[in-house]
Amino acid sequence: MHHLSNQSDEALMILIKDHQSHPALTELHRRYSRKLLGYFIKMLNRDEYLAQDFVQELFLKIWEKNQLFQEDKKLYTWLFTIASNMCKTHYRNCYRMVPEDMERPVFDRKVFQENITDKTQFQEALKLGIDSLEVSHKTVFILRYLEQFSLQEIAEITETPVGTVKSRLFYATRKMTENLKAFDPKYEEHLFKIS
Amino acid sequence: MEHIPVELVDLLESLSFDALSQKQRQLVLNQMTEEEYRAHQKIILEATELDYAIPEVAPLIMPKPSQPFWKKPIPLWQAVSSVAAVLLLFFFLPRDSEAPVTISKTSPAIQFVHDTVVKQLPADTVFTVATRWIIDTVYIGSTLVQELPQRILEAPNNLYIPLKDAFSGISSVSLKEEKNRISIPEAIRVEL
Repeated sequence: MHHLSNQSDEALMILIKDHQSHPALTELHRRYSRKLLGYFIKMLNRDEYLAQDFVQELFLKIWEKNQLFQEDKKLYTWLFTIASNMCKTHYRNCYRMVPEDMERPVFDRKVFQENITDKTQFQEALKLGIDSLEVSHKTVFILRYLEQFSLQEIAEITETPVGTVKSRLFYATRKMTENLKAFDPKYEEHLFKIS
Repeated sequence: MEHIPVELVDLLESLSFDALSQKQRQLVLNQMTEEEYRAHQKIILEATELDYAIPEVAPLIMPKPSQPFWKKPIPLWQAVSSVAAVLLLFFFLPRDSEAPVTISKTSPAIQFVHDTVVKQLPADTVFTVATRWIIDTVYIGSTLVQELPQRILEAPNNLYIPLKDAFSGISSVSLKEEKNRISIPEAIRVEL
């Protein structure tokens, strides 16, 4: 088990493919389950139980569909491709069962009017703003600004051109800016550069 | 959706409005106001600092290793009943000798074989028949001429049609005689 921690992700996947190795899968789970759980929590409107189920289901998919992994690609990106597709399928099924406006959280500005300059309150408002985004916009926004993926990686994960990723990022940001207009920004001097 | 210059996202992520060049500023102002640009940047900044409570991950429930079907164990009763079913089939199915004879429909290929069999008949038999036919025909013609008056007497109500002179003049010729052999085809004469 100890020697597996020195193996690359791709080497572990080969062990799973060729030898049905449980320890290799456990090692991958150890490396990425927490990161994936965080992604699912953000994508699934902070439903922790559903997110836990999704992590379990994702590793089952890796086990059963291991032949779909292409060895020339990064496993990390592939994991998030599966995760994003699972979320997309989940939302599609939800919208099929109930009207879209009932399922997706609606950002209510009135809730935050009293103390909108408080940072904690603002962050809560921002989370609700992310929850209320349309799923394709939410995916790129979370992958870029919350999970810190590069634009190229997001393009691979979402299987869309980089230009489309940028366009979706812009619309997602604009949507949330409209929702949070009441907020009086006070962090202007902390402008940053994302790697 | 309106067209968004891809450079706009790069600028939003990297430069404050004050740090934009004149050309970049113009590009930005074609799409949004300065306040909107600043607000976009605040959202991006705050999003990167968002803190979500991530609980402990549930332990992985190991999937069962997938086996080919011939390696999967089956209950004993299934194995026993399978053997019994095979034995029953062996003893109770009709044997080949008792099975009704089935005649398959003749295919065009078999018909062709039949033609071939006909062609395999001995050649001398064919020639013999042909020779007899020639001789008999000659004698039958002769018999008709000879019997015609007698038939007319026996059936007086029949319409009498006199034969042509040429026909009535036919006489029998025996091909067995040496002098007539010249009229028989050469190939037939050899076989005779």
